[in-house]
Amino acid sequence: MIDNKDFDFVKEKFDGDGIETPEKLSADNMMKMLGEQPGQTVSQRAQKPIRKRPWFRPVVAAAACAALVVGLVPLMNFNLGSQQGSDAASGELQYFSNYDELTSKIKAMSEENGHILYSNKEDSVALGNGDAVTETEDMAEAPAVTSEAGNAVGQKRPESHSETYTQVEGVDEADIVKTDGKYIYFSSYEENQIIIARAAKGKAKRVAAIGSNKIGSYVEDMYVSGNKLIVIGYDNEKEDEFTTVTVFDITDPEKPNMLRTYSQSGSLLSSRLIGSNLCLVTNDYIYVRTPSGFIPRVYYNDEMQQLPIGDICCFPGCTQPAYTVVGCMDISSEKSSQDTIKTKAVLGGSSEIYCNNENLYITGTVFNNSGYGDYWNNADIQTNILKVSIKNGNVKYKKCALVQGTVNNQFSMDESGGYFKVAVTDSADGQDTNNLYIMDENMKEVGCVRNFARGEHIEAVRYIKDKAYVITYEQVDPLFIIDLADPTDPVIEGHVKITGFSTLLVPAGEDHLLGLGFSTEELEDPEIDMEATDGVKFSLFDITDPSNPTVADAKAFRGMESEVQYNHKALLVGPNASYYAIPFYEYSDDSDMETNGILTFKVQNGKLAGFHKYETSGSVMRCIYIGDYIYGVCDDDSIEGFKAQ
Amino acid sequence: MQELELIKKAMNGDQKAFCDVYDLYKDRMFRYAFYRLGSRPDAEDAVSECVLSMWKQIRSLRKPGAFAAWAFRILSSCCGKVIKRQIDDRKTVSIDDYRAEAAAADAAADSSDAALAVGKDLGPGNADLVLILREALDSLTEAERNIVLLSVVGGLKSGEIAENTGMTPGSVRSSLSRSLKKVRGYLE
Repeated sequence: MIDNKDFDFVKEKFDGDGIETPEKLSADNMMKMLGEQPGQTVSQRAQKPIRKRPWFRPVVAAAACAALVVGLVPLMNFNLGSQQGSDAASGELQYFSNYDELTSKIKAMSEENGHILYSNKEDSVALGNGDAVTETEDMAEAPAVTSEAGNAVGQKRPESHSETYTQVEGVDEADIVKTDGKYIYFSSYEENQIIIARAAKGKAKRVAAIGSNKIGSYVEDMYVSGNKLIVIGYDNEKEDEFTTVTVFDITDPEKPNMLRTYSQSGSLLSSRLIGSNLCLVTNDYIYVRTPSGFIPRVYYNDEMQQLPIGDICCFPGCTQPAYTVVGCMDISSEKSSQDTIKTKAVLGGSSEIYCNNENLYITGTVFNNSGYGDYWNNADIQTNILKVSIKNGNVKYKKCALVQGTVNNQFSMDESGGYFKVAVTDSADGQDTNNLYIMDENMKEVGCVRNFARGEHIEAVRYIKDKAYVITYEQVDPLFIIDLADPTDPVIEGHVKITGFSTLLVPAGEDHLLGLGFSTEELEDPEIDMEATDGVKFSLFDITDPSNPTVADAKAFRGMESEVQYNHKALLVGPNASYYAIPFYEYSDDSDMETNGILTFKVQNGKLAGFHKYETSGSVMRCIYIGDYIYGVCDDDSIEGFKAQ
Repeated sequence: MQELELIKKAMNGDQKAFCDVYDLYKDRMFRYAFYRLGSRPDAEDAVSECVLSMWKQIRSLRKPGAFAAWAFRILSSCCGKVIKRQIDDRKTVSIDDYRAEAAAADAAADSSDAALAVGKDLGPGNADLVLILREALDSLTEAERNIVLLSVVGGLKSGEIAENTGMTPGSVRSSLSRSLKKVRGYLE
């Protein structure tokens, strides 16, 4: 669904660059080079079997190399510039009195950083010139829908079903697969469309599809809530970058009906759904903007508006032109307007969000040594954290704080009991070290654990009650338990070491913590001090005694990989945590066979038990359950169901 | 011989077949490395290292059809190592350096000796266009740049890029679409 004209145009330019491959790299010369190497003959392999795919996720000992595995580490945005002095530390956001002041600020900071602001089209975008979604007719036809009508259509009650695995209870996260207990809604891997399938007794039948002509965006994520299907995507019709929310009525899921749309400037960072309040966070890079449009914009259906100047502010000390735009949308409403959608923007980019029922925390990466090359150099990176109140669908920017180091992912953050907690890895002095900060409601630091696990970096964090569980990694994987009961004096209570490392920590009852992640092996190349991941590993930690946690059980599947190693949404927790399930892909050297499927297991009597593989023909993107059946939604758009054992 | 047949032979340890497959990929690999690294010698190093690494790990290739994605994943990692070295050598590459090099090459064009010396490092190639292309790429984030290069120069499909970068195919498609728009906007 890429615009072929853009692709062809760019490709033609690149094809004309006249760059020739040097003779040194000719196949003949490579043959000579390899001839001097110990070639991998079959007999050698038999003596010393190479494990599967050691390149999959190399983990380099040197801190600065952590970012080299492109895409497998959280990609940091360098949209926040250097922030120095008391300006940045003050924690106060700056506001503008008029658009001119804002535009001057953007131009000044662009010049300072050598950023090129350019127009991607000569004509500026005029207000409300019809540059909008085309489905207005459909919207006019959309009948008013009540929840009573929703209940009337279903032949029978939906069965118990899984929800997307989320960080915070009651705060839904968008995903590519959703279910309401009767239907499965998923974003096709093959095409830009949403497929709706009716599922029963392990079988699924495709009943409807929403094509890209209806969605008006590249589907990135969705929610199913009551009789609404909410699709979030990158807008492919507007001139500048916009993220569009499209709400469909699915009272009859076999005939989805588009109700309304809302778009805001920027590309999708993340979103949350709390009750009927959809919270949408986008990153808006100003340099791709038409010159007249330095102001973030929204579309209520096809009506465009600029954000009022009072709704735009600036991180203290921010030097680079990118906005973080936060929109809160009441999805129960029938209309898209300023009354039902609140949008605000802050100058300064963002990389991760944490969100609970009341507050949204947005992190932005601050590179203190600017420049292209420094992207790879992990040194001296700070994280700016902005607290935003989203209570009752209003967006209110509160305070911000600056901490030394980078955030691993959303699980590195938590807010409870009026305190915000964040765990970061810092490599300012050339070696990794880790800090956990605790802040009060005004984002003032009240307590901190500094410099723990030196030489290692954070791979996973989970906050449960008044404890933080932190996995760090270098060659082995220690689990640290940090007691936060006294926010002004957090202390490390205990730790335990295990090989491999977990990237997701899941509470399993009161006494146990389940770690999902990677098994590792030492690379055979003696010149590289490197470990490589070689499979999926489950670790079960006994946390009954926080001062002395133990490894209750562990199991590794070499040659296996799973999206759950990077993405918590790939985890399925069965009814009442009676089982866990993940999608997997496995390759066996011995048989030269590859297998796709779903791996299920249980946590029973303090042990990992009942591992069972359900094989599928397609590669499983997500697994879900409806009643007694587990379904795998595959990348060939097929759905395969199994009775849970 | 069919590419897939060659790859299968290479997977069974046939060095000649491996080099024949490499021959089909070498131009794409070199140009990808060149645009990632901004220097011919560095791109040469990255590709050499990559070929060595690929040969050592050829058995880790899961299926012949995944060769392109696999090769570019290793190449991307090799480019990362070179960038690390560039930083260590305090030889960070910037557009300004490249401009200076290009200017030097232009100036040297009159003097054939100097042209040989400098031009060799830069080109041969359409130096002006290369400069503009690099500037256009510079307007993207590192992640976007990688996706555009994997697609336009590497010839990977969005699913393959997704596997390479850990993104979902949907987000690769959308990121690629807007990145291509940006690059086109810059080039027009």
